[in-house]
Amino acid sequence: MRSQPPGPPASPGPYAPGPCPYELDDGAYILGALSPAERAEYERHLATCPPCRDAIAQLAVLPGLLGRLDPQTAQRSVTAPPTLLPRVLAAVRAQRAAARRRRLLTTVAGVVAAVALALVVGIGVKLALPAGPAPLTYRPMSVGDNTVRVDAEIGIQEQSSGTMVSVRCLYHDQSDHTWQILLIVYPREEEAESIGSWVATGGQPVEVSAITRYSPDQIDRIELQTRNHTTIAWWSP
Amino acid sequence: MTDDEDLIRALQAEHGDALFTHALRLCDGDRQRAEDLVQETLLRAWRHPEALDPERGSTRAWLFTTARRLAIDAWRRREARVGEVVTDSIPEPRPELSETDRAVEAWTIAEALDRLSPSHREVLIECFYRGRSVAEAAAVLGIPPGTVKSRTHYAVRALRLVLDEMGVTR
Ligand SMILES: [Zn+2]
Repeated sequence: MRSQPPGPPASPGPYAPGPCPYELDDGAYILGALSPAERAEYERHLATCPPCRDAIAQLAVLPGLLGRLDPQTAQRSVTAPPTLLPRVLAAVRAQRAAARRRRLLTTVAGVVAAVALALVVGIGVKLALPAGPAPLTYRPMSVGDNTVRVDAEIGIQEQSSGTMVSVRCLYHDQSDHTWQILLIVYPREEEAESIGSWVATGGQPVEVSAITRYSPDQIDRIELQTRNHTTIAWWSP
Repeated sequence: MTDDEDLIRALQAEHGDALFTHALRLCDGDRQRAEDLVQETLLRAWRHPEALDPERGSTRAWLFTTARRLAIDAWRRREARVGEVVTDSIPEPRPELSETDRAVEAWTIAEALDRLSPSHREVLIECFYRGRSVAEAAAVLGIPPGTVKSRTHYAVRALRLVLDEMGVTR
């Protein structure tokens, strides 16, 4: 709240401070809303009242500015359509999913590098991955080529913009041998894509998640392959 | 439901109608473009929640200003596309430029009106844009003529302040 500044001491005469009886008429006057009789009266008053003249001088710019907006547009007032909020919320979710996907891909790249490094220096790793929207159920993958003995499980999670594929596997080979493993997604209609790779070594469990842009029902098969594209484990929905 | 969605819901509940009205003015009555504009404005708010800090000014003012800037950008992009049209004739000076400036002026005044309280905006619409006298406005709004006078007195001052804040006057 703004308080009134203290006025000059009261003095008699036509310029006596205190509320001018015409004080509240200035808005209606500049907007052109006074009746002709009131308008004439107000203008006679203006000739004798400097505070009202000052007020009008301050406000005189307004009618010209208001006039730059056409009346039809000015009068338009509506309620927002009920479809608007769901639409904006959907856009927010889509943008958030895209941001999360970017973060996750960054994390997966880091994870894969960490696994590779850990395996190279011979440390067992258990990877904590970003929590997904629903609990993940793992199913066993079928064994492909028996030159590499692997127990592999796969978990599939639908995302707003694709599928998160989580794989955990253990290679039974007890030698110091290492393999480069590729995680390949075969969509029904399109070219296969590699969505991850890591280095595996015997006796060391590996847990990796990666994202493909295809939805679960677009996926025909997911495989673990060696670098020379021998299938060592596969899964089909 | 998440905090993000709560923010959008809260903004929509408090400012949705006013923002859509504002957007509709900016889009010359095109509801589809107005919806796009509201969506883009709310997404900006979601991406930059720090801009809505009450200490940095009114949320509604920020939303309106953002919508106006986006509308001006869109208008200028459309104008640029129109300007790219290849013709065989000698290019003429483009009258749309001043048209854009006029549109921006009108939008600025619309925004100033939208920032006023509903009762202040109402008397300005009745007395200025609908050309009603104090007595007529009093009848339409169901308030005494003296109240119409005092509301217009305060409404024009509030408008002057908003225009000062927006850098239009002063
Ligand atoms: Zn006076």
